[in-house]
Amino acid sequence: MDEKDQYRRGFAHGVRFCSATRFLDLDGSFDLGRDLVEGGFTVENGELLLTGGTGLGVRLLG
Amino acid sequence: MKIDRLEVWKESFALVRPYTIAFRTISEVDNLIIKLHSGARIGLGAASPERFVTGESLEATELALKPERLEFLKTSNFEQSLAHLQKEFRTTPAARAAVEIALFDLIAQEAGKSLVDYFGRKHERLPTSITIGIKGVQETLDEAEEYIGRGFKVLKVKLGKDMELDIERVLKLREAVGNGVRMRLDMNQGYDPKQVVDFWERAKAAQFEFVEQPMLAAATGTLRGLPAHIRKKIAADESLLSPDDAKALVSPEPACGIFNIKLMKCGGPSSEARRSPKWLRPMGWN
Repeated sequence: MDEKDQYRRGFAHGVRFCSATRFLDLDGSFDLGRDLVEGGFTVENGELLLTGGTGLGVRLLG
Repeated sequence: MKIDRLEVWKESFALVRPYTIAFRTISEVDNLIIKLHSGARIGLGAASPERFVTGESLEATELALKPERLEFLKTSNFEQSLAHLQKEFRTTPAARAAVEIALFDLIAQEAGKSLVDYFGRKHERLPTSITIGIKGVQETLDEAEEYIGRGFKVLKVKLGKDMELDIERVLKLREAVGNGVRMRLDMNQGYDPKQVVDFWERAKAAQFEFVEQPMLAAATGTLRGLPAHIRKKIAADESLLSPDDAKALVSPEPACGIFNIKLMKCGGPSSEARRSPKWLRPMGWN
């Protein structure tokens, strides 16, 4: 399954509360030519880091 | 939490490069976006259905997210909304997930916490894989070099259309990137059992971490015929859509060693998938 999507910000939060999480496969949004929101997470040396803020921490662009 | 107003719309996104996996090539995707208004707060969610995996078409998602079908959100509390979604959106997990994501966005905002802290944070940082679609050997090496240059340390390589090419790609990739990069593979159901065993023997020098969904989703029983050392490194994806699938995969003996859990399959954050069910613990899953 290979979603290319905007929802991964939700899962970027979701996987971090589960102690059984061993692997992240959250690159689906990297291939999108544009984004609808900003914030949520950043990528640093291949690691997803949450950017803070409440809820998903995102802001709708435009 | 009271939902005053909601908006749903479709967005098309062009991809920065065409993307090929075992069963198709795509160059753009459509997502459905949902925006929930609760006083001054806005909750956002998105749906990206995959018909080939869950049976949910984009049209079915659109239908499920028609405003008249979401009126219940305005008259229900948070728990009631989740219960309604669980009951009425069974066949459209992506639509359900979109609404749930927006609801959880709002409930965490109300609590003044990030969503992860609302749930209870267990991990601070984790590396993600970045995926190389099905392509030629040189193109694979070029894309890997680009990703490593951008700092990624985990590559996921799509396979499953041509085993000979697959073996050549992963062996040459390991030779090119050295041992400092982790490699995960995904056949997207493209192999039969004999190919899985052959591939394992001939490509093991590539030192892959695990292999995702090598065979048809319906072939869970057949997976058990594979040697234990292979099963341990198989991740179930297309064959894992529900808690019942998870139970079938681990009992009576494990058919795989890893679960790939996605919101668009399980229907959102309220799913049992996030609660580390007790029946998984005897298998060493906690």
